[in-house]
Amino acid sequence: MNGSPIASGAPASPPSPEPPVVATEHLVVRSRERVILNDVSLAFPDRDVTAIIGPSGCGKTTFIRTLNRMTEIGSGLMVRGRVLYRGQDIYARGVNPVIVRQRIGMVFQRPVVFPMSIFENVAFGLRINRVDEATVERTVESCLRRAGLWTEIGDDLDRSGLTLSGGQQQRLCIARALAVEPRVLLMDEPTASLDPVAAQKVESLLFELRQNYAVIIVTHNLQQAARVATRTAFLYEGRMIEFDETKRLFESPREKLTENYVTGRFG
Amino acid sequence: MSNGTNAPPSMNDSLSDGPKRRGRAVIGVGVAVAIAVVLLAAGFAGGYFLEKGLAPSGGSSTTSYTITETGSTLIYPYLNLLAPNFTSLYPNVAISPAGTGSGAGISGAEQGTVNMGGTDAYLLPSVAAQYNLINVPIAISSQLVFYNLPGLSVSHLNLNGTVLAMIWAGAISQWNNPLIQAANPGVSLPSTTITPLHRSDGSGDTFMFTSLCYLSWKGWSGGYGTTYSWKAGQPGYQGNSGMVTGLHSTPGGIAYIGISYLQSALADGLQYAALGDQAANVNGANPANYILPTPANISQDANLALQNLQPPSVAISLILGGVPGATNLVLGGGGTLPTAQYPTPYPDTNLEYILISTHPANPSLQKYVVVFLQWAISTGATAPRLASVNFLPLTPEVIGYDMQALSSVQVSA
Amino acid sequence: MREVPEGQPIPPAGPAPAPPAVPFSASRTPLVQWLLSPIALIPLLLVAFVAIFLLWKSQLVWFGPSFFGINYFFDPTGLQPNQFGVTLFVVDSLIVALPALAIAAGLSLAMAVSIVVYLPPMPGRVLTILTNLLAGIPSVVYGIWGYVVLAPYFGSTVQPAIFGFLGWIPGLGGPLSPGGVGSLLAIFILIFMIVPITTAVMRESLRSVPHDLVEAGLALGATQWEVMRRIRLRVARRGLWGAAFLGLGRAIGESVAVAMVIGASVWIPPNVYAPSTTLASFIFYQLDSSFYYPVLLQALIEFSLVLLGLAVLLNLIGQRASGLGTTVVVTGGNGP
Repeated sequence: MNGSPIASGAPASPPSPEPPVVATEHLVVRSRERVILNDVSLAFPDRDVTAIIGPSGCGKTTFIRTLNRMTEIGSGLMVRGRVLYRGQDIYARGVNPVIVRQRIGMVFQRPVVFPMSIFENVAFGLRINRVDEATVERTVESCLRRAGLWTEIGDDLDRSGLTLSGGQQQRLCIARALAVEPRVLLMDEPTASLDPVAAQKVESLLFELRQNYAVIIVTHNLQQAARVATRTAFLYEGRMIEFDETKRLFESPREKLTENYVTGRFG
Repeated sequence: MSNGTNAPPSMNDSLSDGPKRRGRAVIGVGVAVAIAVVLLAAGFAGGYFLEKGLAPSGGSSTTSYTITETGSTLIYPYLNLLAPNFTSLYPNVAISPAGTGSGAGISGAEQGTVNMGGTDAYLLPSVAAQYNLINVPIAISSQLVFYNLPGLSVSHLNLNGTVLAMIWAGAISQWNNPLIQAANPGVSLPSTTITPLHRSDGSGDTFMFTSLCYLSWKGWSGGYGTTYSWKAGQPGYQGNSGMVTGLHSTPGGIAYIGISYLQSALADGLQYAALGDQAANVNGANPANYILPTPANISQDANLALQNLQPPSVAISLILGGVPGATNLVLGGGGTLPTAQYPTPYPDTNLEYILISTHPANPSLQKYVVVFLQWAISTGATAPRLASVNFLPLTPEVIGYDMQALSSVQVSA
Repeated sequence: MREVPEGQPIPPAGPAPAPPAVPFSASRTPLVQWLLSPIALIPLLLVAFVAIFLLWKSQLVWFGPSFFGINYFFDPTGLQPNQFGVTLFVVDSLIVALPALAIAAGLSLAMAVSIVVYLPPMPGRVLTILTNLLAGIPSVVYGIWGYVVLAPYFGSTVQPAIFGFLGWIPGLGGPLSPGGVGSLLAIFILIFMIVPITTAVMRESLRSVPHDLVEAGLALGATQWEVMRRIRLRVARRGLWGAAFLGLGRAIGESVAVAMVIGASVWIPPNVYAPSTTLASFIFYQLDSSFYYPVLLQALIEFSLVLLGLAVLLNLIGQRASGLGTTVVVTGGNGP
């Protein structure tokens, strides 16, 4: 921190037409050694894209993983505060993380395709819920369509998913996440490992998805945040510095730190 | 966390401390090789000094010797008993016995890897001559037939060679078989199935026992030897101790066990049979033809054969009693017994042998081998030592034979 | 990359993997690489040396077509013709090894799954140490335990119990073996010897499944079990088969402990209770007699060659499948 003045993570919620679908209240995440997230309170509206930006190590990936309890998988992190999904605390006793993850899906930085056919990749979440075969086929098609893959590979679904290009793989992962019919889609730098053309395809997919889902996207590509997100939150050293409409955050930030970051003076 | 801030440490290694690591690895390999070389050298040097009989410490005017032995597990406890007593008489001579098996004893003696090879079965005199070896009997041993059949009215069943052979060949399968009943009048025998046990490992006991069967019953096929193609389905056990343990847990079982294991078998609640002599194979119903393995009966048996064998020989695996006119009374590579009437001794008796070379590589060491064996068959063979392994002292005839044989050993260059 | 904890009973892999190539800087080839490269040939040389030695010592005596038969008969006195049918012993070995492997593989899979997924780190580590401990017990100890402690109990209790419940299954019918020695006891003992190797290899195979795949599965709302069943087991399939083959190699090769409990009866046993034999244990317990009878020694050496061939084959299959000595790359994904 070097003694630089940092605004405290006061709850900040820009005006939004609907009640938030996901919100954090005084979220603190710590490992054995250090505090990773300190008192982060944010609210995410439904049917919209929200971006989380910040320099490497600011805790943005941890933050997004906290939102569907992926943090508990072998990380040994301790979570305090509340994460609300439509008003319910997902960390409350009696909440099944498996159900949480069905409501709040996730797409990772690198495309993670299962070593099985394209069809079975998309059908994965349906199979574990024992959905009947006709519904599976219908859902696979519709999800591949929504992910913009159907026209490219719709006639060759028995092929191994691993044979697809990187961009196609990432869109396959998105289709796979959609098949579970989540309300919220968490995306952890979904284009970071893709070439510009593929990244552009995924980005334009986000505009489609915002019609039906709350999308929370972590990115360190500021232009991407500016392009896709209605609202953007800036995280720095585990604290939420500023959360505002994207345009305002980039053009007239209230905090000096934010200004320095978005103008490229550090990060 | 996967924020990418912590680069995997391995990525930096090759840049920062690569040379140092490489240095350490080279040193590590070097040290390991050096240790291996030193250990090998020490081992060879030690072996060399032992071989040459030079005590590495030196300083003594007398040369030290270590006499090595390998072979029969039956002889091993006895040699172990003799060794320290001999060393107390000859402080410069150590005896190092190893119980590995009679086959290993013969093989070790043939190849000269040991100074003495212990075996329960004689080495054929023709083969022995080929390797310049002699059979030196050091004690009389015998074999008992134990059974696991609690609740009988007699403490020892009468069993003869024919019956035993038929049991192991599968021709008799129940304890109340008429042949067994005939040999045991008045004893109420159960209809329990007989489970005959055998040794799974190569064994002098198997050699003795199959010899007994071979000599006693015409129907016996497959010959005799330290191993035998037993009837399928019969359980085999490792060693005499395995036989005792196995018989103990096998109701209706029957097993041949070396006399050294008498105490342990009795402690396990097993009983042993009185064995029939040659006459019993002809007339099994006569109780006079069944003999218990008492020391007197065993000695008598050995004496009988060794006094009458023509030409004199100690290459004997099994000493059966005699009936007039019968042949094959002794199975051996040496002589034959005249077919005369003999008293009835315990039939399942044999000699324990030490094989030594008559043309040794190291005659000065061999001198002490001869001294040891001369001592072991005479003053060393005290009653308590023999009794602790249930061996019996050699008869004067055998001792005389041994002394003469030992005198033929080359003991100076 | 796989991480292999220290002290793990993974059998010696084949030739060590070649060090990674260092392009553009050949002059910086580490000295240690030059020292160690020939060492990679040592295992190959050792196997070749043993095989050549055995071939030479056996003098390639041709026992006739009966050598590949299922009859064994040896007359030490040489009065009757000998038959050394090696197939009999291979069949007997499989009768013992396959059931032992099936049970051990099931147990190992359960343990590996528990250690990798369900157990907290500490109990998982304890279980790992305990299974590794099993591998460290000399087989002769299992043998003594088997014939002193277990055999009477098998004869009096276990055999009748299995016969009572499962006697209708072919191979589990009577008659029983009163002393308790036989295939069943050997199977039981072998399970203890196979479990460490199969558990270790299965555990590492499951662990080597990229974490990304597991996370992706969990992120789709799958439970750990569903991820295990649909992803981990699928991805690690080859490794799991490899573990099975290595376990089979271990089972077929075990001699001492099996010799002590199998009952040494040369035949194809009618059921699992009866005394039987295996190729390895037969060679072991006939060794001393072979010093008396040269023809028996030659037969045993040729049996050893068959055993060596079987063991090498099973190990090669196992190592190839399990990826021991090679890096497993399943997808482009990297663990965090």
